[in-house]
Amino acid sequence: MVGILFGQEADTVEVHPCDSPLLEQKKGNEKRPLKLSQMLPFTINVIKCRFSERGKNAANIQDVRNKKMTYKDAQQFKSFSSTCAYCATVMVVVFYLSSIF
Amino acid sequence: MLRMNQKLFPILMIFFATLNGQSKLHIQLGSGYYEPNLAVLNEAFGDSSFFSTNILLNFTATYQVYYNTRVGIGSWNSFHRLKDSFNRRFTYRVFILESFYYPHEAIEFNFLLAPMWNSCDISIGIENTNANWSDLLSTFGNTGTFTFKSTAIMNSSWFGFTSSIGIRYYIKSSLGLDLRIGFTKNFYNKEKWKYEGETIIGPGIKLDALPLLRLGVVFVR
Repeated sequence: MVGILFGQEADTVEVHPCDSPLLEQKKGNEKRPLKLSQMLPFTINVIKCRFSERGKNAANIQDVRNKKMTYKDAQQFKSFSSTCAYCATVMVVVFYLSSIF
Repeated sequence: MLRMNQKLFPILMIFFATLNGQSKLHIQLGSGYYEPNLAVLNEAFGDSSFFSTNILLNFTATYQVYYNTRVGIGSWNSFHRLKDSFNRRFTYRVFILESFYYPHEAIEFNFLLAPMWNSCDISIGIENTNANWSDLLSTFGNTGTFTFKSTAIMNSSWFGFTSSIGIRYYIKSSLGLDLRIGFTKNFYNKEKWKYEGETIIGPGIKLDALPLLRLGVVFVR
């Protein structure tokens, strides 16, 4: 009898940490806040998801996208930022030239 | 009042939208090399080392407020600790305005201008006895001699200015290595030291214009 009970397969489907309902709840479209008791399982799922193959792939895609966006936004000086750069460059160059001569 | 709010509201909206849209927090931990002339101080201490004289430990936090601009604060520290004796600490506080651009996807050139508010503390821990204190404790039935510890501190603060140009390589979008070359200008005055509220004369160290090299690891959030 005991052997039969232990021999049975559990009738559950394992959910991937990235598909956890808690992640869905927090990061989905609704963005509902978590209860205090849900914080720990949520954090565990976030960490598991991040270190899973799917999480790593997603992070890589995000990383490439972030780099491209940052590059696109700042590949040229805009507005007053070039003035700051000129000032800094001139000051540093003058300082080192004056210390040489 | 209503008119003022009507003007203020759109300005605040634009300001926070800019902050929110471009928000990127850059935390930098690193080290720096500079060459102050601390001979007088080191002679007085009877000790000197390369680490205590020439090395700075840096912490910097900047926030991207515009496409090419970050503002933030930094704290660069130089320590000299003598066992059972004096402690000396230079703190260079930096209020950063920094612009940058990307010639390539993972490489950033940055340009920093920053006023500074710097200070130096020289302190010593002193172990002392006090008759009144010992008497008080003995009235409660305690026997033996009792010591108390106190710290004597002299300090001085002064304005400064720093500027640097640097290159940053992003290993990932959230992690980068940063190398900078620049200088600091300090308006240090040895006659403006304070000890217990009194103005005293401090060491004649030379911090006027110092070349500075910094290397750090940057975490972006």
